[in-house]
Amino acid sequence: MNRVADYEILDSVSREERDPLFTAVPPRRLGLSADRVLLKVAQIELGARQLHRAAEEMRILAAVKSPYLVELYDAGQDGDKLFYSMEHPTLGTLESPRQPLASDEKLAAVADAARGAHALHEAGIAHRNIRPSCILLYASGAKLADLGMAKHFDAGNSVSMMPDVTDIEFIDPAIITGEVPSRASDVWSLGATLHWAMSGGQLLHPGRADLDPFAAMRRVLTEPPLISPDLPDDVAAVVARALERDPADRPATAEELAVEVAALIEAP
Amino acid sequence: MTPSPRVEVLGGAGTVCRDGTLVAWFAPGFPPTRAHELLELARSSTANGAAGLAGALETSDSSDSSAFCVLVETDGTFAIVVKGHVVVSEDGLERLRGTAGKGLVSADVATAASLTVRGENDLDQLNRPGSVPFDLRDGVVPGGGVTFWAAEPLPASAPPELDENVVLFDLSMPQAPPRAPLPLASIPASVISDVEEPTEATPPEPTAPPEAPVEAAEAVLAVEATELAPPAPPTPPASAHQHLVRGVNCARGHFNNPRALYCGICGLAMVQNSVVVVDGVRPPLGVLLLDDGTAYSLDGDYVLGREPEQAQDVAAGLARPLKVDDGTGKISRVHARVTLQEWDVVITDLGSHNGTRVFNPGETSWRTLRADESVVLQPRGRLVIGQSTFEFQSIQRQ
Repeated sequence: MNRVADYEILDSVSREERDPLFTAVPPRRLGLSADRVLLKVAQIELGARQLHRAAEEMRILAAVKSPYLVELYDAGQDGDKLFYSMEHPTLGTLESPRQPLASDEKLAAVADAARGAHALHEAGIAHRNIRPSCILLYASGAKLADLGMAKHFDAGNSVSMMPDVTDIEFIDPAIITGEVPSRASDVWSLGATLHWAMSGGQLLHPGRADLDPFAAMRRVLTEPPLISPDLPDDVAAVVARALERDPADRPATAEELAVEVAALIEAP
Repeated sequence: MTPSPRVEVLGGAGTVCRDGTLVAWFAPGFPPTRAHELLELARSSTANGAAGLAGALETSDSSDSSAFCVLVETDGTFAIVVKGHVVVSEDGLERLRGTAGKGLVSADVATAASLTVRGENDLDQLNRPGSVPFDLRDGVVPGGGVTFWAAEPLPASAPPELDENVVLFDLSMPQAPPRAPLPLASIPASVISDVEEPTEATPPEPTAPPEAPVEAAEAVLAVEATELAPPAPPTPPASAHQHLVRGVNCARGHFNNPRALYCGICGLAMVQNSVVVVDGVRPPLGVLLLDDGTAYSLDGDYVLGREPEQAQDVAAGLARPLKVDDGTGKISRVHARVTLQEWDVVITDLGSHNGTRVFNPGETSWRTLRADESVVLQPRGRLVIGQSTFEFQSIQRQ
């Protein structure tokens, strides 16, 4: 794939095979000064009504203004693909930063993403798919991007844990079974993202990657996550609260989590 | 040069006219002299907006009853006036409809991705002729209606033409009112899992027909409706379109399977309250995990097969299609059904050619289901069709 609509695709940004993120050259019709945008391409079958819904969702998203949310430039449908373009992350993503990040930089990025999630929640939208690859890094701070739009339109709430083993790492298990995305499920995802970033990419269910899919999913759905002993105690406590099985035991809002995460940053 | 919308003529009976920013559609048999008069009035009207345009057209004789629609586009905003059986839809959703009487109906519509004008009598024709994918720049042609496609600002030089498959969304203007913030409190899952079609509110008998479906689009709508809804009281679930079952609450008020040893939400042991059986909305029962790693949430029924959309229950919206094709040729088009009954996951063979095999924990051998034969799939039980294996994974600790 080297073109979607009138975007010229340069390279892939995320490691996800399904619904990937690309670096692309924006069409001139947008009148942007930037020569690069981040382009999301989701392969979905949209009927007229779902298309209308997608457009409406994009409009609402574009209307939510927050310094912690990426700016949406453009959105549309090209054949069987839904696409939308956003600010290009100059410093990479939390998953693949341009340069290695210090602990405080990781904490600041997750805190910013939590504030972005909170802005969405206040606008009545759940992100549904927060993970390290959708936390974009800029000199001014981090921004949250890439709503889980495609999942929104999938039949049957299906979630794939293959081929990328990290796929389900950041999803609240209750969502996998079909619960409705909420503030609490996004808080769970932020907690899992914090764990991943601060532990150097360790899984919440260690050894899951070596199991067959049945056993791995069984472990994810029924066993509590195991927080890495490598995390400092105060970070582990914040992660543990965000990953509480009962949503009522998690921070009530993403903003509350942002405050907790920001408090972990060592004073200069 | 300012960009202007592309005007695509739709098949069907009637007449379409375009003169610059003025576009009109007239019903079949509309008197030509009257049409010319209306076009002239619209052209010479200096009033602003749809109300102004309607005023200009009202002044003329409106005793005839034929339907028409006149649109004038100014900087991406359409002033629209319709009369009679005409429907104007914006991005596929109805926006304006003429009245059968003599009066004119008017509205201003800001730029939509698409705007379609069509005679009402044409709407229900299943096999109506398709559109003509050309841009009518000027002139009069036969046609059952028109679709405007929003113009994009013209680039400074040699624009790469957007393919006709591309539809751009206008992000500038939300057309729905802002949503309420998401509910703060975590509501017990049994109350918010409202993604089912309307169904009888009475608790079903064990032999009741499979409960209502969650078609993809419906699920989307329901999810959004949930987002909009204020926090619901935890009990009782009042809505008629939630699937009610008998269950028990854990000490923290989460609704569970009476047979559960631990709460599926918070993991508490089910001891204190498990004697009190109450009605509640059934939470998802877990997932059906395919051996390729895809998990399907058990919050509704599925039909499995190579072409499950051919199943009557799928067409009727009673079950979602779950397409499985492992390339072995051993999976029938419509192979098996997964039905949620109360708290059980029931597998039924739908007359497949090679049968449906089920293996439940504790049993010593596989069981092959014949046509229309059913069996309850236990947690960690496996289901095989062709060479594809599914496992039912309950969120309940066993």
